[in-house]
Amino acid sequence: MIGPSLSGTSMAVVPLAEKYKTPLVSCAASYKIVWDDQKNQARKWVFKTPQTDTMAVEAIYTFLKKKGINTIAVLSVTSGFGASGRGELIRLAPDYGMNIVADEKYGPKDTDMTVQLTKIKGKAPQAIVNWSVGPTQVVALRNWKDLGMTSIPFYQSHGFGSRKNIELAAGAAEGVYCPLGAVNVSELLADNHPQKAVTMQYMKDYAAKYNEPLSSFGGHAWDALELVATALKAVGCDKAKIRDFLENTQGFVGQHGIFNFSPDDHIGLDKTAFQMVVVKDGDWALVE
Amino acid sequence: MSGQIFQYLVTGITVGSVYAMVAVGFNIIYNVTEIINFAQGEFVMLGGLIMVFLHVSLGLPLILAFPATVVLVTMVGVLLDRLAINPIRQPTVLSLIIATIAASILIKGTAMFIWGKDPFDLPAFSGRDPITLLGAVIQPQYFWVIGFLVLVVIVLTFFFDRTIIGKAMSACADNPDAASLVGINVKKMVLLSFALSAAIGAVAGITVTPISLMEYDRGAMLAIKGFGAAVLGGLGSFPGAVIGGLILGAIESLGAGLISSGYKDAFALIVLLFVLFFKPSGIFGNIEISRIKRF
Repeated sequence: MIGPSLSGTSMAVVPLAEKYKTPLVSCAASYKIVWDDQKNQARKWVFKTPQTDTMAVEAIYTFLKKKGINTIAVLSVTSGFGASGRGELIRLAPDYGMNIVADEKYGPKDTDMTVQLTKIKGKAPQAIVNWSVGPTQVVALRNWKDLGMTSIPFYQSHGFGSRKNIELAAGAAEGVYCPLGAVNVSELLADNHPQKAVTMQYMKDYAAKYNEPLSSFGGHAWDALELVATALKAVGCDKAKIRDFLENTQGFVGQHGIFNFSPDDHIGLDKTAFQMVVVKDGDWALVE
Repeated sequence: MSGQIFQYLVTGITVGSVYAMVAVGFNIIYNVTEIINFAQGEFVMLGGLIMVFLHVSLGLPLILAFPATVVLVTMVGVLLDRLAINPIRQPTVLSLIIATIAASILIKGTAMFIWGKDPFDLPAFSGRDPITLLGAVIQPQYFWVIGFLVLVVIVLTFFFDRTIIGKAMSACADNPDAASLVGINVKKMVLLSFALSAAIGAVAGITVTPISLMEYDRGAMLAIKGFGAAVLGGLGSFPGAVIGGLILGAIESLGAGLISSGYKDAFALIVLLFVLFFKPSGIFGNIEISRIKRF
Protein backbone atom coordinates (compact mmCIF):
# COMPACT_ATOMS: atom_id res chain seq x y z
CA MET A 1 0.00 0.00 0.00
CA ILE A 2 1.35 3.46 -0.91
CA GLY A 3 0.45 6.66 0.96
CA PRO A 4 -1.28 8.54 2.58
CA SER A 5 0.54 11.83 2.07
CA LEU A 6 -0.20 13.46 5.45
CA SER A 7 1.22 12.45 8.85
CA GLY A 8 -2.17 12.46 10.57
CA THR A 9 -3.88 10.26 8.00
CA SER A 10 -0.86 7.95 7.80
CA MET A 11 -1.00 7.41 11.56
CA ALA A 12 -4.62 6.37 11.17
CA VAL A 13 -3.70 3.73 8.59
CA VAL A 14 -0.62 2.38 10.39
CA PRO A 15 -2.45 0.12 12.91
CA LEU A 16 -4.39 -1.51 10.05
CA ALA A 17 -1.23 -2.19 8.04
CA GLU A 18 0.31 -3.81 11.13
CA LYS A 19 -2.82 -5.80 11.91
CA TYR A 20 -3.29 -7.19 8.42
CA LYS A 21 0.45 -7.59 7.82
CA THR A 22 0.46 -5.53 4.64
CA PRO A 23 3.55 -3.48 3.73
CA LEU A 24 2.74 0.26 3.83
CA VAL A 25 4.97 2.91 2.25
CA SER A 26 3.78 6.28 3.53
CA CYS A 27 4.52 9.58 1.77
CA ALA A 28 4.28 11.74 4.93
CA ALA A 29 6.86 13.46 7.11
CA SER A 30 6.67 12.42 10.76
CA TYR A 31 9.15 9.78 11.99
CA LYS A 32 6.38 8.44 14.25
CA ILE A 33 4.79 6.77 11.23
CA VAL A 34 7.60 4.22 11.09
CA TRP A 35 8.86 4.32 14.68
CA ASP A 36 6.93 2.95 17.65
CA ASP A 37 7.90 5.20 20.58
CA GLN A 38 6.37 2.89 23.16
CA LYS A 39 8.20 -0.24 22.05
CA ASN A 40 11.21 1.82 20.92
CA GLN A 41 11.54 -0.09 17.66
CA ALA A 42 10.62 0.31 14.00
CA ARG A 43 7.09 -0.74 13.05
CA LYS A 44 7.45 -4.04 11.22
CA TRP A 45 5.21 -3.40 8.20
CA VAL A 46 5.56 0.36 7.75
CA PHE A 47 8.08 2.32 5.66
CA LYS A 48 8.14 5.89 4.45
CA THR A 49 9.98 7.89 1.81
CA PRO A 50 10.03 11.60 2.81
CA GLN A 51 12.84 13.03 4.88
CA THR A 52 11.91 13.74 8.51
CA ASP A 53 11.75 17.08 10.32
CA THR A 54 14.87 16.04 12.20
CA MET A 55 16.88 15.82 8.96
CA ALA A 56 15.57 19.19 7.78
CA VAL A 57 16.46 20.83 11.10
CA GLU A 58 19.92 19.20 11.03
CA ALA A 59 20.49 20.43 7.48
CA ILE A 60 19.46 24.00 8.39
CA TYR A 61 21.47 24.06 11.64
CA THR A 62 24.57 22.63 9.95
CA PHE A 63 24.32 25.36 7.34
CA LEU A 64 23.71 28.13 9.90
CA LYS A 65 26.69 26.97 11.92
CA LYS A 66 28.89 27.08 8.84
CA LYS A 67 27.76 30.68 8.28
CA GLY A 68 28.62 31.57 11.89
CA ILE A 69 25.00 32.21 12.88
CA ASN A 70 23.99 31.16 16.39
CA THR A 71 21.16 33.51 17.41
CA ILE A 72 17.88 32.56 15.75
CA ALA A 73 14.17 33.23 15.95
CA VAL A 74 11.71 30.37 15.46
CA LEU A 75 8.39 31.01 13.77
CA SER A 76 5.91 28.15 13.41
CA VAL A 77 2.33 27.35 12.52
CA THR A 78 0.14 25.73 15.17
CA SER A 79 -0.64 22.65 13.04
CA GLY A 80 0.86 19.17 13.35
CA PHE A 81 3.57 20.01 10.82
CA GLY A 82 4.55 23.26 12.57
CA ALA A 83 4.44 21.82 16.08
CA SER A 84 6.59 18.85 15.10
CA GLY A 85 9.17 21.06 13.35
CA ARG A 86 9.25 23.51 16.25
CA GLY A 87 9.82 20.62 18.67
CA GLU A 88 12.82 19.41 16.67
CA LEU A 89 14.22 22.96 16.29
CA ILE A 90 14.15 23.40 20.07
CA ARG A 91 15.37 19.88 20.87
CA LEU A 92 18.39 20.04 18.54
CA ALA A 93 19.35 23.68 19.25
CA PRO A 94 21.84 22.86 22.08
CA ASP A 95 23.63 20.23 19.94
CA TYR A 96 24.42 22.88 17.33
CA GLY A 97 25.00 25.75 19.78
CA MET A 98 21.90 27.62 18.60
CA ASN A 99 20.39 30.24 20.86
CA ILE A 100 16.65 30.65 20.22
CA VAL A 101 15.72 34.21 21.19
CA ALA A 102 12.13 34.20 19.95
CA ASP A 103 9.58 31.42 19.61
CA GLU A 104 6.51 32.80 17.81
CA LYS A 105 3.44 30.99 16.50
CA TYR A 106 0.51 31.64 14.21
CA GLY A 107 -2.63 29.76 13.18
CA PRO A 108 -2.93 27.84 9.89
CA LYS A 109 -5.69 30.21 8.68
CA ASP A 110 -4.20 33.48 9.94
CA THR A 111 -4.33 36.44 7.59
CA ASP A 112 -1.27 38.36 8.74
CA MET A 113 2.00 37.62 10.60
CA THR A 114 3.20 41.23 10.93
CA VAL A 115 2.80 41.07 14.71
CA GLN A 116 4.97 38.00 15.21
CA LEU A 117 7.65 39.39 12.89
CA THR A 118 7.61 42.82 14.55
CA LYS A 119 8.28 41.09 17.85
CA ILE A 120 11.11 39.09 16.29
CA LYS A 121 12.58 42.28 14.81
CA GLY A 122 12.79 43.72 18.31
CA LYS A 123 14.84 40.71 19.48
CA ALA A 124 17.36 41.18 16.61
CA PRO A 125 18.19 37.56 15.79
CA GLN A 126 20.78 36.67 13.09
CA ALA A 127 18.28 34.49 11.24
CA ILE A 128 14.62 33.48 11.22
CA VAL A 129 13.57 29.85 10.82
CA ASN A 130 9.93 29.41 9.79
CA TRP A 131 8.10 26.07 9.88
CA SER A 132 4.77 25.89 8.05
CA VAL A 133 2.97 24.71 4.95
CA GLY A 134 0.21 26.32 2.91
CA PRO A 135 -0.49 30.04 2.45
CA THR A 136 0.88 31.15 5.84
CA GLN A 137 4.50 30.51 4.83
CA VAL A 138 3.98 32.86 1.86
CA VAL A 139 2.20 35.54 3.90
CA ALA A 140 4.98 35.40 6.52
CA LEU A 141 7.53 36.02 3.75
CA ARG A 142 5.64 39.00 2.37
CA ASN A 143 5.30 40.53 5.83
CA TRP A 144 9.03 39.93 6.40
CA LYS A 145 9.83 41.89 3.24
CA ASP A 146 7.29 44.65 3.92
CA LEU A 147 8.71 45.16 7.40
CA GLY A 148 12.13 45.74 5.82
CA MET A 149 13.63 42.74 7.57
CA THR A 150 15.51 41.35 4.56
CA SER A 151 18.82 41.93 6.40
CA ILE A 152 17.79 39.05 8.70
CA PRO A 153 18.00 35.93 6.49
CA PHE A 154 14.82 33.88 6.33
CA TYR A 155 14.99 30.05 6.40
CA GLN A 156 11.97 28.00 5.40
CA SER A 157 11.37 24.34 6.14
CA HIS A 158 11.27 21.69 3.38
CA GLY A 159 7.52 22.44 3.26
CA PHE A 160 8.43 25.40 1.02
CA GLY A 161 9.40 22.96 -1.75
CA SER A 162 7.17 24.16 -4.56
CA ARG A 163 7.86 26.79 -7.20
CA LYS A 164 4.25 27.90 -6.78
CA ASN A 165 5.24 29.33 -3.41
CA ILE A 166 7.91 31.48 -5.05
CA GLU A 167 5.31 32.78 -7.51
CA LEU A 168 2.76 33.46 -4.74
CA ALA A 169 5.31 35.38 -2.69
CA ALA A 170 5.36 38.00 -5.48
CA GLY A 171 9.07 38.79 -5.23
CA ALA A 172 9.31 38.41 -1.45
CA ALA A 173 10.93 34.97 -1.68
CA GLU A 174 14.18 36.37 -3.12
CA GLY A 175 17.14 35.31 -0.96
CA VAL A 176 15.15 32.84 1.13
CA TYR A 177 16.88 29.58 2.09
CA CYS A 178 15.34 26.16 2.46
CA PRO A 179 16.45 22.52 2.53
CA LEU A 180 15.16 20.56 -0.46
CA GLY A 181 15.49 17.11 -1.93
CA ALA A 182 17.44 16.68 -5.18
CA VAL A 183 14.19 16.37 -7.16
CA ASN A 184 13.52 20.12 -6.90
CA VAL A 185 16.88 21.13 -8.28
CA SER A 186 17.64 18.42 -10.83
CA GLU A 187 18.89 20.87 -13.47
CA LEU A 188 21.34 22.42 -11.02
CA LEU A 189 22.96 19.19 -9.86
CA ALA A 190 26.47 18.41 -11.07
CA ASP A 191 26.54 15.85 -13.90
CA ASN A 192 28.29 13.32 -11.70
CA HIS A 193 25.69 13.63 -8.91
CA PRO A 194 24.24 10.13 -8.34
CA GLN A 195 20.65 11.38 -8.54
CA LYS A 196 21.15 13.51 -11.67
CA ALA A 197 19.77 10.93 -14.12
CA VAL A 198 16.63 9.87 -12.21
CA THR A 199 15.62 13.40 -11.26
CA MET A 200 16.13 14.78 -14.77
CA GLN A 201 14.01 11.98 -16.23
CA TYR A 202 11.24 12.58 -13.68
CA MET A 203 11.28 16.32 -14.38
CA LYS A 204 10.89 15.72 -18.12
CA ASP A 205 8.11 13.15 -17.67
CA TYR A 206 6.23 15.32 -15.19
CA ALA A 207 6.41 18.45 -17.33
CA ALA A 208 5.29 16.50 -20.41
CA LYS A 209 2.25 15.08 -18.63
CA TYR A 210 1.03 17.92 -16.37
CA ASN A 211 2.58 21.02 -17.91
CA GLU A 212 3.28 22.61 -14.51
CA PRO A 213 6.38 22.90 -12.31
CA LEU A 214 6.96 19.82 -10.15
CA SER A 215 7.09 19.92 -6.35
CA SER A 216 8.74 17.84 -3.62
CA PHE A 217 5.58 15.94 -2.90
CA GLY A 218 5.27 14.07 -6.20
CA GLY A 219 8.87 12.96 -5.69
CA HIS A 220 7.94 11.25 -2.42
CA ALA A 221 5.23 9.30 -4.22
CA TRP A 222 7.68 8.40 -7.02
CA ASP A 223 10.15 7.04 -4.47
CA ALA A 224 7.43 5.00 -2.77
CA LEU A 225 6.05 3.65 -6.04
CA GLU A 226 9.45 2.71 -7.48
CA LEU A 227 10.51 1.01 -4.22
CA VAL A 228 7.39 -1.12 -4.24
CA ALA A 229 7.69 -1.83 -7.97
CA THR A 230 11.29 -2.97 -7.53
CA ALA A 231 10.21 -5.24 -4.69
CA LEU A 232 7.36 -6.70 -6.72
CA LYS A 233 9.68 -7.42 -9.65
CA ALA A 234 12.24 -9.08 -7.39
CA VAL A 235 10.11 -11.24 -5.12
CA GLY A 236 6.63 -11.38 -6.61
CA CYS A 237 3.37 -10.84 -4.75
CA ASP A 238 4.06 -12.34 -1.34
CA LYS A 239 3.44 -9.69 1.34
CA ALA A 240 6.08 -10.91 3.80
CA LYS A 241 8.71 -11.21 1.07
CA ILE A 242 7.98 -7.68 -0.15
CA ARG A 243 8.43 -6.39 3.38
CA ASP A 244 11.74 -8.20 3.81
CA PHE A 245 12.95 -6.95 0.45
CA LEU A 246 12.07 -3.33 1.34
CA GLU A 247 13.84 -3.61 4.68
CA ASN A 248 17.02 -4.89 3.04
CA THR A 249 17.04 -2.39 0.16
CA GLN A 250 20.43 -0.68 -0.10
CA GLY A 251 21.59 2.14 -2.36
CA PHE A 252 18.22 2.73 -4.02
CA VAL A 253 18.59 5.96 -6.00
CA GLY A 254 15.36 7.95 -5.59
CA GLN A 255 14.11 11.48 -6.22
CA HIS A 256 14.85 12.65 -2.67
CA GLY A 257 18.01 10.78 -1.83
CA ILE A 258 19.76 7.43 -1.79
CA PHE A 259 17.78 5.03 0.36
CA ASN A 260 19.50 2.54 2.69
CA PHE A 261 16.95 0.69 4.79
CA SER A 262 17.70 -1.56 7.77
CA PRO A 263 15.63 -3.29 10.49
CA ASP A 264 15.99 -0.17 12.66
CA ASP A 265 15.67 2.38 9.87
CA HIS A 266 12.49 2.33 7.82
CA ILE A 267 13.12 5.80 6.38
CA GLY A 268 16.41 5.03 4.71
CA LEU A 269 17.63 8.65 4.38
CA ASP A 270 19.86 10.96 6.39
CA LYS A 271 20.49 14.72 6.42
CA THR A 272 22.53 14.50 3.21
CA ALA A 273 19.18 13.91 1.44
CA PHE A 274 18.70 17.67 1.72
CA GLN A 275 20.48 20.28 -0.38
CA MET A 276 20.44 23.84 0.95
CA VAL A 277 18.76 25.92 -1.71
CA VAL A 278 18.32 29.68 -2.05
CA VAL A 279 15.71 31.50 -4.12
CA LYS A 280 17.49 33.50 -6.81
CA ASP A 281 15.78 35.38 -9.66
CA GLY A 282 12.50 33.61 -8.90
CA ASP A 283 13.94 30.11 -9.05
CA TRP A 284 15.90 27.69 -6.89
CA ALA A 285 19.70 27.92 -6.83
CA LEU A 286 22.15 25.68 -5.00
CA VAL A 287 24.22 27.23 -2.22
CA GLU A 288 27.71 26.06 -1.43
CA MET B 1 8.77 49.93 21.73
CA SER B 2 6.06 52.51 20.97
CA GLY B 3 6.71 51.84 17.27
CA GLN B 4 6.12 48.16 17.92
CA ILE B 5 2.85 48.78 19.75
CA PHE B 6 1.66 51.07 16.97
CA GLN B 7 2.53 48.30 14.50
CA TYR B 8 0.49 45.78 16.50
CA LEU B 9 -2.45 48.19 16.58
CA VAL B 10 -2.37 48.93 12.86
CA THR B 11 -2.25 45.22 11.99
CA GLY B 12 -4.93 44.45 14.57
CA ILE B 13 -7.27 47.09 13.23
CA THR B 14 -6.82 45.87 9.66
CA VAL B 15 -7.56 42.26 10.58
CA GLY B 16 -10.35 43.55 12.82
CA SER B 17 -11.89 45.43 9.88
CA VAL B 18 -12.34 42.12 8.07
CA TYR B 19 -13.94 40.59 11.17
CA ALA B 20 -16.16 43.66 11.41
CA MET B 21 -17.37 43.29 7.80
CA VAL B 22 -18.21 39.64 8.45
CA ALA B 23 -19.98 40.64 11.67
CA VAL B 24 -22.05 43.29 9.85
CA GLY B 25 -23.10 40.58 7.39
CA PHE B 26 -24.19 38.35 10.26
CA ASN B 27 -26.21 41.19 11.77
CA ILE B 28 -28.11 42.11 8.60
CA ILE B 29 -29.46 38.58 8.27
CA TYR B 30 -29.95 38.18 12.00
CA ASN B 31 -31.96 41.36 12.22
CA VAL B 32 -34.44 40.31 9.55
CA THR B 33 -34.62 36.55 10.15
CA GLU B 34 -33.28 35.97 13.67
CA ILE B 35 -30.94 33.33 12.32
CA ILE B 36 -27.17 33.11 12.20
CA ASN B 37 -26.06 32.47 8.65
CA PHE B 38 -23.17 30.06 8.95
CA ALA B 39 -22.35 30.45 5.27
CA GLN B 40 -21.22 34.06 5.92
CA GLY B 41 -17.53 33.09 5.82
CA GLU B 42 -18.11 31.34 2.48
CA PHE B 43 -19.18 34.68 0.93
CA VAL B 44 -15.79 36.11 1.93
CA MET B 45 -13.97 33.13 0.42
CA LEU B 46 -16.02 33.35 -2.79
CA GLY B 47 -15.38 37.09 -3.02
CA GLY B 48 -11.64 36.49 -2.93
CA LEU B 49 -11.58 33.55 -5.33
CA ILE B 50 -14.03 34.97 -7.90
CA MET B 51 -12.05 38.21 -7.90
CA VAL B 52 -8.85 36.23 -8.55
CA PHE B 53 -10.61 34.46 -11.42
CA LEU B 54 -11.94 37.65 -13.03
CA HIS B 55 -8.98 39.92 -12.39
CA VAL B 56 -6.00 37.56 -12.68
CA SER B 57 -7.22 34.69 -14.87
CA LEU B 58 -9.51 36.63 -17.22
CA GLY B 59 -7.54 39.87 -16.98
CA LEU B 60 -10.50 42.18 -16.34
CA PRO B 61 -9.36 45.54 -14.97
CA LEU B 62 -9.76 46.05 -11.24
CA ILE B 63 -12.48 48.65 -11.64
CA LEU B 64 -14.68 46.17 -13.57
CA ALA B 65 -13.72 42.98 -11.77
CA PHE B 66 -14.55 44.43 -8.34
CA PRO B 67 -18.26 45.20 -8.99
CA ALA B 68 -18.64 42.07 -11.13
CA THR B 69 -17.39 39.94 -8.25
CA VAL B 70 -19.72 41.65 -5.80
CA VAL B 71 -22.66 41.03 -8.16
CA LEU B 72 -21.76 37.35 -8.63
CA VAL B 73 -21.41 36.72 -4.90
CA THR B 74 -24.66 38.62 -4.29
CA MET B 75 -26.30 36.19 -6.70
CA VAL B 76 -24.94 33.30 -4.65
CA GLY B 77 -26.55 34.95 -1.60
CA VAL B 78 -29.85 35.26 -3.47
CA LEU B 79 -29.66 31.61 -4.56
CA LEU B 80 -28.89 30.59 -0.99
CA ASP B 81 -32.14 32.23 0.13
CA ARG B 82 -34.21 30.93 -2.81
CA LEU B 83 -32.91 27.35 -2.66
CA ALA B 84 -32.16 26.75 1.00
CA ILE B 85 -34.05 29.23 3.18
CA ASN B 86 -37.25 30.17 1.35
CA PRO B 87 -38.47 26.63 0.50
CA ILE B 88 -38.43 25.47 4.12
CA ARG B 89 -42.14 25.09 4.85
CA GLN B 90 -42.30 25.45 8.58
CA PRO B 91 -39.28 27.54 9.34
CA THR B 92 -37.92 27.37 12.83
CA VAL B 93 -34.74 29.17 13.85
CA LEU B 94 -32.98 25.83 14.27
CA SER B 95 -33.96 24.36 10.90
CA LEU B 96 -32.90 27.55 9.11
CA ILE B 97 -29.53 27.60 10.85
CA ILE B 98 -28.97 23.95 9.91
CA ALA B 99 -29.82 24.85 6.30
CA THR B 100 -27.12 27.54 6.31
CA ILE B 101 -24.57 25.06 7.70
CA ALA B 102 -25.41 22.63 4.90
CA ALA B 103 -25.13 25.46 2.37
CA SER B 104 -21.71 26.46 3.71
CA ILE B 105 -20.40 22.89 3.32
CA LEU B 106 -21.81 22.74 -0.21
CA ILE B 107 -20.29 26.09 -1.22
CA LYS B 108 -16.92 25.12 0.25
CA GLY B 109 -16.97 21.77 -1.57
CA THR B 110 -17.94 23.38 -4.86
CA ALA B 111 -15.14 25.93 -4.49
CA MET B 112 -12.68 23.10 -3.89
CA PHE B 113 -13.76 21.41 -7.12
CA ILE B 114 -13.50 24.62 -9.10
CA TRP B 115 -10.29 26.11 -7.71
CA GLY B 116 -8.55 23.15 -6.07
CA LYS B 117 -6.84 23.29 -2.71
CA ASP B 118 -4.04 25.71 -3.55
CA PRO B 119 -4.08 29.29 -2.26
CA PHE B 120 -4.43 32.12 -4.79
CA ASP B 121 -2.90 35.57 -4.87
CA LEU B 122 -4.41 38.87 -5.96
CA PRO B 123 -2.24 41.89 -6.81
CA ALA B 124 -2.52 44.65 -4.21
CA PHE B 125 -4.79 47.49 -5.42
CA SER B 126 -2.13 50.16 -5.20
CA GLY B 127 1.17 48.34 -5.26
CA ARG B 128 3.11 46.55 -2.56
CA ASP B 129 5.51 49.29 -1.50
CA PRO B 130 5.03 49.64 2.25
CA ILE B 131 4.67 53.04 3.93
CA THR B 132 6.55 53.82 7.13
CA LEU B 133 4.58 55.83 9.67
CA LEU B 134 5.53 56.51 13.31
CA GLY B 135 7.90 53.55 13.36
CA ALA B 136 5.32 51.16 11.92
CA VAL B 137 5.36 49.65 8.45
CA ILE B 138 1.99 49.78 6.72
CA GLN B 139 1.03 47.94 3.56
CA PRO B 140 -1.05 50.17 1.26
CA GLN B 141 -3.64 47.40 1.14
CA TYR B 142 -4.36 47.99 4.85
CA PHE B 143 -5.87 51.36 3.92
CA TRP B 144 -8.13 49.71 1.36
CA VAL B 145 -9.44 47.23 3.92
CA ILE B 146 -10.09 49.89 6.54
CA GLY B 147 -11.45 52.28 3.90
CA PHE B 148 -13.98 49.77 2.61
CA LEU B 149 -15.16 49.06 6.15
CA VAL B 150 -15.82 52.79 6.58
CA LEU B 151 -17.58 52.90 3.20
CA VAL B 152 -19.75 49.89 4.07
CA VAL B 153 -20.75 51.49 7.37
CA ILE B 154 -21.63 54.83 5.73
CA VAL B 155 -23.67 53.21 2.96
CA LEU B 156 -25.51 50.93 5.35
CA THR B 157 -26.31 53.74 7.77
CA PHE B 158 -27.73 55.77 4.91
CA PHE B 159 -29.63 52.74 3.60
CA PHE B 160 -31.28 51.82 6.89
CA ASP B 161 -32.00 55.40 8.04
CA ARG B 162 -32.88 57.21 4.81
CA THR B 163 -34.46 54.79 2.34
CA ILE B 164 -37.91 53.20 2.36
CA ILE B 165 -36.56 49.71 1.68
CA GLY B 166 -34.01 50.09 4.46
CA LYS B 167 -36.69 51.23 6.86
CA ALA B 168 -38.90 48.34 5.79
CA MET B 169 -36.04 45.97 6.59
CA SER B 170 -35.59 47.56 10.00
CA ALA B 171 -39.33 47.12 10.55
CA CYS B 172 -39.02 43.38 9.84
CA ALA B 173 -36.25 43.27 12.35
CA ASP B 174 -38.37 44.92 15.03
CA ASN B 175 -41.54 42.91 14.47
CA PRO B 176 -42.08 40.76 11.37
CA ASP B 177 -45.79 40.20 12.05
CA ALA B 178 -46.57 43.89 12.41
CA ALA B 179 -44.38 44.61 9.38
CA SER B 180 -46.39 42.27 7.15
CA LEU B 181 -49.62 43.78 8.51
CA VAL B 182 -48.60 47.19 7.20
CA GLY B 183 -47.88 45.66 3.78
CA ILE B 184 -44.19 44.86 3.88
CA ASN B 185 -43.28 41.70 2.00
CA VAL B 186 -41.20 39.98 4.68
CA LYS B 187 -39.97 37.20 2.36
CA LYS B 188 -38.61 39.80 -0.03
CA MET B 189 -36.83 41.52 2.85
CA VAL B 190 -35.26 38.21 3.85
CA LEU B 191 -34.04 37.76 0.28
CA LEU B 192 -32.66 41.28 0.32
CA SER B 193 -30.86 40.66 3.60
CA PHE B 194 -29.08 37.63 2.14
CA ALA B 195 -28.15 39.62 -0.97
CA LEU B 196 -26.79 42.51 1.11
CA SER B 197 -24.72 40.42 3.45
CA ALA B 198 -23.32 38.38 0.56
CA ALA B 199 -22.25 41.64 -1.10
CA ILE B 200 -20.52 42.82 2.07
CA GLY B 201 -18.84 39.43 2.48
CA ALA B 202 -17.57 39.71 -1.09
CA VAL B 203 -16.10 43.16 -0.40
CA ALA B 204 -14.30 41.78 2.67
CA GLY B 205 -12.93 38.86 0.63
CA ILE B 206 -11.77 41.02 -2.26
CA THR B 207 -9.95 43.51 -0.06
CA VAL B 208 -8.23 40.98 2.20
CA THR B 209 -7.01 38.54 -0.47
CA PRO B 210 -3.98 40.65 -1.49
CA ILE B 211 -2.83 40.51 2.16
CA SER B 212 -3.64 36.96 3.16
CA LEU B 213 -4.08 35.00 -0.11
CA MET B 214 -7.31 33.00 -0.39
CA GLU B 215 -8.13 29.31 -0.57
CA TYR B 216 -11.32 27.28 -0.50
CA ASP B 217 -11.46 26.52 3.22
CA ARG B 218 -10.67 29.96 4.63
CA GLY B 219 -14.36 30.80 5.24
CA ALA B 220 -15.05 28.88 8.44
CA MET B 221 -12.34 30.58 10.50
CA LEU B 222 -13.38 34.06 9.33
CA ALA B 223 -17.01 33.23 10.14
CA ILE B 224 -16.07 32.20 13.68
CA LYS B 225 -14.09 35.40 14.25
CA GLY B 226 -16.84 37.50 12.69
CA PHE B 227 -19.46 35.79 14.83
CA GLY B 228 -17.32 36.49 17.90
CA ALA B 229 -17.15 40.14 16.88
CA ALA B 230 -20.93 40.33 16.38
CA VAL B 231 -21.61 38.77 19.78
CA LEU B 232 -19.00 40.96 21.47
CA GLY B 233 -20.57 44.10 20.05
CA GLY B 234 -24.11 42.89 20.67
CA LEU B 235 -25.90 40.72 18.12
CA GLY B 236 -27.96 42.89 15.79
CA SER B 237 -26.15 46.16 16.46
CA PHE B 238 -24.19 47.67 13.53
CA PRO B 239 -21.99 49.98 15.60
CA GLY B 240 -21.51 46.98 17.90
CA ALA B 241 -20.33 44.82 14.99
CA VAL B 242 -17.77 47.39 13.89
CA ILE B 243 -16.47 48.10 17.38
CA GLY B 244 -16.56 44.40 18.24
CA GLY B 245 -14.53 43.50 15.15
CA LEU B 246 -11.93 46.18 15.74
CA ILE B 247 -11.58 45.29 19.43
CA LEU B 248 -11.24 41.60 18.60
CA GLY B 249 -8.54 42.32 16.00
CA ALA B 250 -6.66 44.68 18.28
CA ILE B 251 -6.74 42.29 21.25
CA GLU B 252 -5.49 39.40 19.14
CA SER B 253 -2.70 41.49 17.76
CA LEU B 254 -1.63 43.13 21.03
CA GLY B 255 -1.95 39.86 22.93
CA ALA B 256 0.19 38.04 20.37
CA GLY B 257 2.76 40.85 20.31
CA LEU B 258 3.04 41.67 23.99
CA ILE B 259 2.27 38.36 25.70
CA SER B 260 2.39 35.22 23.55
CA SER B 261 1.55 34.52 19.93
CA GLY B 262 0.74 30.89 20.78
CA TYR B 263 -2.37 31.99 22.69
CA LYS B 264 -3.50 34.61 20.18
CA ASP B 265 -6.95 33.12 19.58
CA ALA B 266 -7.41 32.44 23.28
CA PHE B 267 -7.05 36.14 24.20
CA ALA B 268 -9.90 37.14 21.94
CA LEU B 269 -12.12 34.38 23.30
CA ILE B 270 -11.29 35.20 26.93
CA VAL B 271 -12.27 38.82 26.38
CA LEU B 272 -15.44 37.68 24.62
CA LEU B 273 -16.39 35.41 27.54
CA PHE B 274 -15.53 38.15 30.02
CA VAL B 275 -17.80 40.68 28.29
CA LEU B 276 -20.65 38.20 28.00
CA PHE B 277 -20.25 37.35 31.67
CA PHE B 278 -20.87 40.93 32.75
CA LYS B 279 -23.09 42.07 29.90
CA PRO B 280 -24.72 39.05 28.23
CA SER B 281 -26.21 41.14 25.44
CA GLY B 282 -22.81 42.40 24.28
CA ILE B 283 -21.37 45.93 24.40
CA PHE B 284 -24.09 47.66 22.38
CA GLY B 285 -26.79 45.04 22.77
CA ASN B 286 -30.03 45.70 24.57
CA ILE B 287 -31.12 43.03 27.01
CA GLU B 288 -34.81 43.97 26.57
CA ILE B 289 -34.66 43.45 22.81
CA SER B 290 -32.69 40.22 23.08
CA ARG B 291 -35.42 38.80 25.35
CA ILE B 292 -38.03 39.16 22.60
CA LYS B 293 -35.83 37.41 20.03
CA ARG B 294 -36.14 33.67 19.62
CA PHE B 295 -32.39 33.13 19.35
